[in-house]
Order: sequence, then C-alpha cells, then structure tokens
Amino acid sequence: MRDTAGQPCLPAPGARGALAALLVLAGLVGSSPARAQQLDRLPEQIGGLQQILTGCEATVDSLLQERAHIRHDSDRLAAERERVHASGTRTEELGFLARLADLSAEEDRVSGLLRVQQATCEECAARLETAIDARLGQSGPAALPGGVRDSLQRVQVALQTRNHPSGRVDIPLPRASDDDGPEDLSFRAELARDLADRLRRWAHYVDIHRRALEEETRLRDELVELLQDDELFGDDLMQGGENASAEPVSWRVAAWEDGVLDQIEALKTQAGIEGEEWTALGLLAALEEWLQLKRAALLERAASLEQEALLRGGRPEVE
Amino acid sequence: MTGRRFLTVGVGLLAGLVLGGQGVCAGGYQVAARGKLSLGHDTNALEKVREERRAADQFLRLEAGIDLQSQTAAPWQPQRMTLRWAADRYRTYREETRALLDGRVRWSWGHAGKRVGLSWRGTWKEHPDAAWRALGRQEILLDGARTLRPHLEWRWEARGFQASTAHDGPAGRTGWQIETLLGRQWGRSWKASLRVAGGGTHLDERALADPAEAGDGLLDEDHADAQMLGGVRIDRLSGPRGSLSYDVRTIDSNSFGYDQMRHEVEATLAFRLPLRSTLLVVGRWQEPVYREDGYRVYRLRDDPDDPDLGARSGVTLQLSRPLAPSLTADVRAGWQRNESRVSGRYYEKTTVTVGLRYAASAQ
Repeated sequence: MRDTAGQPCLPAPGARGALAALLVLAGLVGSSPARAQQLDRLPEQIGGLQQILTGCEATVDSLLQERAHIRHDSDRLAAERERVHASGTRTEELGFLARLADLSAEEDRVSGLLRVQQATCEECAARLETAIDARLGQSGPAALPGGVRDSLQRVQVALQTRNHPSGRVDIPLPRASDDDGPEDLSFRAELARDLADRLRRWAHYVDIHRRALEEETRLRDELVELLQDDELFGDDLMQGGENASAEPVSWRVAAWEDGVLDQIEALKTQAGIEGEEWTALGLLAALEEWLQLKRAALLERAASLEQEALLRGGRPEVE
Repeated sequence: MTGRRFLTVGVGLLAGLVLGGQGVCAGGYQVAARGKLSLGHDTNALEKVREERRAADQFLRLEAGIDLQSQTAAPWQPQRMTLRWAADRYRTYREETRALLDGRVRWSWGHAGKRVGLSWRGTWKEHPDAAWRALGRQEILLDGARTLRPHLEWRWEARGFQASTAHDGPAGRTGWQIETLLGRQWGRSWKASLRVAGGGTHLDERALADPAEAGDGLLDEDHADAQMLGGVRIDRLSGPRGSLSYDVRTIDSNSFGYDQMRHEVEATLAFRLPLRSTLLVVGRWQEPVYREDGYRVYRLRDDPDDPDLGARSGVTLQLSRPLAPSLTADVRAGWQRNESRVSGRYYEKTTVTVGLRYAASAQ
C-alpha cells in the first residue's frame, strides 16, 4: 500500500493481521541474533517512519485545507441561495441547490479521504513511538549520545501530544447533584476517570521534561563549576575574577515543542504555581506533585460516584 | 588566617558535607554539600620560563564545600550562602602547597521583571610554607537586571573590593568597577550580549616599590590603575551549551608599569556524551599590546605566578562521568601559557588531575 504522498506505508488490515501472525511466529521461532538485527535496524526504521509520518501529515494538512475551501464555497453559495430564494427565480435557486449538492458530495469524498489518511498517520505515529521507545531503551555500545536522545525524546513527546490542542487545560472535579440518576452518575464517574487518565499522561510528560531539565542543569552546573575552579585556583585573585555564575536554566528548555510548553503553562496557571521564587526544577516538581494529587482526587471521586450510582440504581424510582 | 584555622574550617566543612549528605536541613534552606579528592601532575610546578629549569611534580588536592539555598521568600534572608575550602599539597616543592577559602553570601529581590541583588565575597589564599605569599580579597557587589522586552534584558553591576597581603605588614589595594550589559535572546537557545565596564584600583603606599627604585616620573599622584572594557558575547543555552566572548580592555597602569590594550577571547563548550558523561572545554587567549615602556613599580606579589596583567592563554578539558547518584569521576587536563611578570618571558605548564567528586543535597 502507498500513502497519498507516494511513500510506502502500512499494508491493508487483512494483510496486517497475517503479517502480525507471521511476526509472532517469527518471534517464537526466532533467535537472539534476529532480535539484535532488528535492534540494529532501529535508527533506519525511525528515520523511515519519520519521513512517512511527515508526508502523511502534509497530506492531512492539504486535505484539511481542501475541505475548508469547500466549506467556505458552500457557505458562500448557501448565502447566495438565500438571497435568490427571497428575490430571484426558482430556476436560479435550483441551479444553486445543484451546485451545493455537488459541493456536499465533494466534501464527503474529501472527509472520507481525510479519515483514512488520519488513521494511517495514527498508525505510523504509533509504530514510530514504539520504535523510539525501543531505541531509547538501548544500552551498552548502542547507547545514544545525549543530543540524539534529546531529539528522540522531543519527537516522542510531540507524538504523544499531537492530538491535544494546545491552550487552556480544564480539569474540573465532577460533582453529583441530588436529582442525578444512576446513568448521570456513571457518566460523571467515567468522565472523572478519563480526566485522571489525562492527568497521568501529563504527569508523564512533566516527568520527562523534568528529567531533561535536570540533565541541562547538570551540564550548566559542571561548566560553571569548572569556571569557578579557574577563578579560585587561578592566579588572578588580586585583579578580581569574573564571578562565573550560573545562567539560569529556564523550564522552557529548547528540547520541547511550543504546544507542550503551552500546555505546561496552562497547567501551571491552574495549579497556582507561579511567581519568581520558583526555580525551574522546583516548578516542574511541584507541578508533577499537583498532577498526582489531582489525579488521586479524581479517581477517588470516580469511585464515590460509581458507588452512589449503584446505590441510586438499586432504589425503586419514584413516579 | 593561619594554617590551623584553615584546617579547622576544612574539617568543619567536611563534617557539613557528611551531614548534608544525610539529609540535614535547617531554616528553610536546601543544603548541598560537596567534596573532591584529586591527584595531579604538574609539568612546571615552579613556573619557570627556561625549559632546563622546569621541574615536574605531583600534588594532592582536597576540596570541601557547602551551599545553602533559601527555599523561602523572606526578604532579608540571604538567598544563597556558599563556603568552599580547598588545599593542594605538592609532593616535592613545599612552597607550592596552599590552602584556599572562598565564602559568598547573596541577597536577591525581584518583582515584575526587575531584580536587584547584593553579594559579599571573601577569598583567602594561604601558603603554609611561604607566608609572604598569603593574600586575601573581599568584594561587595550590587547588581540588578530588568527585562525591557520579552527577549531583551538590561543588567548592571557595581562592585568594590579590597585586597591585601601580609608581606611586611598589610599591603594592598582597593578598587571599584561598574558594568552594564544588554542581552538579547533568540528562541530558547541563543543569547547575545554587549557589555561595557570601567573601573579603577588604588594602590596603597606599601604596595608600591620605593619611588627611588621606581623612578619619580612613573607614578601618578593617586597611585592608581584605571581600566575600560568593551565586549561582545554569544551564548548557547541548551543542548550542547557554550559561549564565545571577545573583550577589549585598556589599562592605564601604575602597578605594572606598562599601559596596555588587552584582547581577551574566551570560549566554552559543554557536551553530553553517552552513559551520562560530559565533556567540558574552556579556552582562553589574552594578549596585551603594550603602549609604552616603563618600570615595574609594584611589589605586591611580584612573583612569576601573578600574571594578572600579562599575557595569558590556556585550554582546559574535563571529562566527567557519574559513578553513583552522589559520586562523579573527573579527569581534567589543562595547558597554559602565561607571561612571567618578573622577566616578561613566557612560561608553559600542563596539569593533569584525576579526581572523585562527591555531591549530595537535601531539601
């Protein structure tokens, strides 16, 4: 199968099942050299998948643009049709209706292509994420240099957050009111669990971010320490050293995409972690702690809502 | 400060280091303690300019330090306090043995993109086997910063210092410097800054040689050095970190006897390598262009290892690798080429150290 950008991508679902079965068999029969070969191919595989995903996302963007144009034309024609309906002839109006029907069919066609393409992108992204996970987990001689690790982690977080629109993050604690029925309560419990799951993912991103920042800080501190050693052990005491000091490492380290940073900014505001007294690492640690606490509260609320739903569901309904 | 007092401070700091590692915390401060033990080899321990007189020696260096960082926003509480002690002892050349003490206290206040800081720093160097080489320095620094636009920052600082030696009674100098800096950041990784500084140093009577020896016409009435500096700097703030700076400094000097214009270049690079190791590189090139001849009229530490105003160049490389959460192994190699103050000729030396660094912090 080829994606619309003309690059090889995923086989059809049936073929994928057969391929998966073959892979499982190969895994059972296969020996460690096969696994080693697979690991050796990881950098190539990651590069290839990144290329495919880029092409796939470009196609999605162009389809989205195409659909937006169609919708814009439809809106314009609908407005014209309204005007003609009020003042024009019936034939003229029918002409507009026919063109609107064509545009609607075209929009359906593009939306269909878009859905297929988005599913393909999702699948490519999932495969890329798995390959990056495996590459990041490699140790020994195959271990990654810091720069490559950073870049892969950046891709990893970008993949994990690609479907989350940036901006405000709302994490309300669902409440039950007296007139809620068992279904409402179950729905709210489900919502609380969903929010808790979102927070778990965010705690994971913040944790990755904090670890990257720790490495940045360590590198900066070692450099400052070396410069301070030069000051202290050097012979320019009488003249006065330059007082090597640490250029603060911002929590917005370069390794992170703007979308992720905006999300963290929004979470920070919601957690009330603001002010100049926070160090970058302190801020992220506090944010991680807040996310864990909030998640625990959501899970607790979900449990209590479910219990309440059971209780209310057990009661006979009063007419 | 005597050698015994130095020893007391060193032992105290080592005790603090152990306690810091055990999680002791007081008064809302985060405690970080560090210690280091290194073995080194110096190819020119006596800093001789003539190759045939050079002598290599081995040395042992012990360091301890404690760093207290405030976790509260109490306005009059120092934000940071550090004390660092170090001693190095040469195996053969006892006069090269020395002990160092460096203490700093810093207050800082910030509000709405403005920050003001006040710092005190005291440094002492003792040579237990050569008392005449002891010296001390104290400095008060007032600094501030203001964010002018989201990526544009203006900084200023004013410092005053006093330095003295005990040679034939206290002799020394007092000085001041003001500096202003404009920095702009591009994205999250690059920053460029432009700085201008000026200052003066007044030499007291005991710091100057006998006027008869110096020649009457060479001393200004105020016995002072004056300097002006302008420079540019580029920093990379993330990933492979680094900086490159160029300063041009003019010095009208009584102390050195030569007015000069110095070109000073410094480059730093810090890389992360596999297995959490890091490679740091610091390079310096400082070359004076002397503007007129004169006589050396200053005798404060007029020994060859005081290359303040002469040429100085060097490269230092450090490779570090964490062995355990609090333990890091360091290998450092440094080469330098300095101008000897006495003869005006150059001497070179290479130093290699292998060390184990311990660092622990508790909140």
